[in-house]
Amino acid sequence: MDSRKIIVFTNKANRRLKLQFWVKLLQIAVSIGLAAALLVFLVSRLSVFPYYGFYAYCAAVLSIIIFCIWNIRHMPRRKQAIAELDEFTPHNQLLTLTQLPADHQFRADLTAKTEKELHLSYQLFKKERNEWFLPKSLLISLGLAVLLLLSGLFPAAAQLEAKEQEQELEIMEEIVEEVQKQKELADSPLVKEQLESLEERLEDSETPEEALRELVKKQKELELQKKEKMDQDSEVAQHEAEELNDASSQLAKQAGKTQTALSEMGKPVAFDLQQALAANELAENLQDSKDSDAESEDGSDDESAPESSSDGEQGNSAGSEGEGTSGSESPEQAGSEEAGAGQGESGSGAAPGEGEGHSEGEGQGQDGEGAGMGTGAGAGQGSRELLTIPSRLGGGADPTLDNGELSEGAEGSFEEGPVNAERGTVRPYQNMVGAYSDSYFSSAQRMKLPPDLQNIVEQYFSAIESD
Amino acid sequence: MTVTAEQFTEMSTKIQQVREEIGRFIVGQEEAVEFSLYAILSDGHALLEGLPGLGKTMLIRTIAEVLDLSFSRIQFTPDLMPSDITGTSLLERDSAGRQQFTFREGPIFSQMVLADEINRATPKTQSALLEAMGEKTVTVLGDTKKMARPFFVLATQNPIEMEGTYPLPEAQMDRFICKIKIPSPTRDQMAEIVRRTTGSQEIQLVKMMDATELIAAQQLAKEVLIADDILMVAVDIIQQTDPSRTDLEDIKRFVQYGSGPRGLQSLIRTAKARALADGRYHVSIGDLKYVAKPVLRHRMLMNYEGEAESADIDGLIGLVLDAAGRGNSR
Repeated sequence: MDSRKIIVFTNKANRRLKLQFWVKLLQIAVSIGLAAALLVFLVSRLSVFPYYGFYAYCAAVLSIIIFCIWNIRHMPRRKQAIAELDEFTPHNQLLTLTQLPADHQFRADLTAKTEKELHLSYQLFKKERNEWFLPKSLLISLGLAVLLLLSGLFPAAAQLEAKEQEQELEIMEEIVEEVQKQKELADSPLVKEQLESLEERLEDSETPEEALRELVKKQKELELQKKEKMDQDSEVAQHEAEELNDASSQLAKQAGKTQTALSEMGKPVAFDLQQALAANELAENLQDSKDSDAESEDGSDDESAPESSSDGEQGNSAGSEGEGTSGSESPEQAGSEEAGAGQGESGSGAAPGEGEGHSEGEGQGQDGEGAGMGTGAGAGQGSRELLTIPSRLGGGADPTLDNGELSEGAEGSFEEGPVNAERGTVRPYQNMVGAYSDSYFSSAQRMKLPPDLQNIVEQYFSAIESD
Repeated sequence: MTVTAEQFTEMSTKIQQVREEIGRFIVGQEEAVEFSLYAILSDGHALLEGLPGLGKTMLIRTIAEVLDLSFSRIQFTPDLMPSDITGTSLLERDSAGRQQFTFREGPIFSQMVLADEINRATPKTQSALLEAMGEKTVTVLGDTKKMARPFFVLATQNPIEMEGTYPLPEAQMDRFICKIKIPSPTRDQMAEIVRRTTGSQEIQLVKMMDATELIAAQQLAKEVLIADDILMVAVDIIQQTDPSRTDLEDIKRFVQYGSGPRGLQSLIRTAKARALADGRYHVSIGDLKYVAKPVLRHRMLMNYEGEAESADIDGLIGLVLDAAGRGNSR
């Protein structure tokens, strides 16, 4: 075909047909994609199918791509464009012309005739081949989209469960990622080895709680190893201890995150695990507190240092002696006594306070000595850490700090059964426990303790009330 | 053979003049005239089907006269012998007194032959005619004679009065390039027929072409081009008539045998003749569709169900044409 005019018109027809082809193909492809997505949604309604949303999306996209690729062979070619345009050319002139040998005697004559007709032919072609939409496909797509929307708005029980599983899997994945990240950061072969073993165990874990348990276990192991290394004098050991400490603290943070995530899902972890995690957190807080104290001291030495450097920490820790309850009987208590700031049993208490190094808190409580307990107003200064972390759970070196001033208080006594009650003096234990726990809960809320810590407190009071 | 577009145009004009001249005497029957001419141009033979008295003989006689061809009419009867058609060798004495066999040509040796009511003759006689139609030769006592050129047979069949007839076998029907139906004239046409034939005024027909020009026209028809894609449309049409190859349910249901290669040849030749008559040197899909019904209607054999339900063969061909390829809208 040597006529430029004919080539131009056939190219135009070809482009138009291709465009129409893709427009129509995509309409069908979208229907098929939506149908595939709906199918996945339907399956996810019947059986628990984590990440069903993602799979539905993938099914839709894949279906569309596969359908388009499969049908690309039907895409109009130039020959088809000629045939289609020829339908509007008198007596199939265009088709005959394209199939005539180049040196045929009628070629020139036929070309001239076709050129004359082609403009009108193309106009007719455009008018007649003007179908762009496939109403059937569009209606089907609309119907499928509505069904998908309804399925998304009203998820089935299996879908909700699948969502939970997704969250659990994400939590587990996050743990694994953190472990891998720590493994990459670690230089020490010991740390790497420990983290690798953790990774293997995590891979075998089926639930986030299992993974969390493994994580905490490993974190405690690292903690112990750190202590061992710290006892050694070599530089290598100290370096390893540092790395172990870093890895341990990162794992502890991750464990805390995981616990929070599980709590948000309404799946609190087992009590023992909660305790272990609480111990971690407290140990960390203690460490922070120590650090802040140290910084604070440094700050007082240096007048030019900004006061604000210790404000927050100091404010929080300088609570009055609050409502007290018996503390743990941990060996660390001895440490506190040695520091001269503690008593036989430290009470737990909290008081919000603000200020530069000093704050005043109010609270109900009564200091006691020995196994003392009671109510009463108290005021104190200084930092107090009121929960003891057992060393078996990886507690810090000296968790029971009490830097507050000792308050005056009489030694308490304990009497079983109904006794003559007198305010401020002797009260029945049974009556006392309820008021004590209520008082503690209100303090805990005021202090905005994390949910997991609140759980520990609740469980503690449940336990002693049931006794 | 080198041909030019102008030759096609000139021939088209001439054919148009022939048609007009025939139309001066034959009232209506446009399709019969048109397809008779296409059959002649494509060097084939036609089968006419119509009731007696519709002007079949007059039609072929008129065509022969306008084309300036020799004409003969054979009335087929059950006692008609093959030699009555082909001619025979007679023992004759020459001027020297010697006896020798001399071949006396039968009516088949005319350029245009009207085989009236061909289904009334015995199969033996029918086959003598059909052989001449196919081979364009006649063999008598071992001596093969060539037929005059152009040679055109127009056979008629009476669709009623089937008693005492020998319907043509399908294989022999296939030798006719097309089967033309002669419809009954309309009211106005009947009045016009009476006006033209019962008065004292005689219509003098003018010879518009002669045998040489007709042969040239036949040759020109063969030069008509057909694009490969259009040829494939013709092939599709033929295949769709075959119940074992068609996708059409009605064809599968009503047709026992469809058309074959000879049908395809006839379709192309007739389409070329139409293109030539239209002044074109190339066949269009429209040509194929236009000539398909007369070309294919006698090549498709109905099955029992088709006969029982009186399925319309033209309707079935219409379905085939719709399915085989898109027509040209211009």
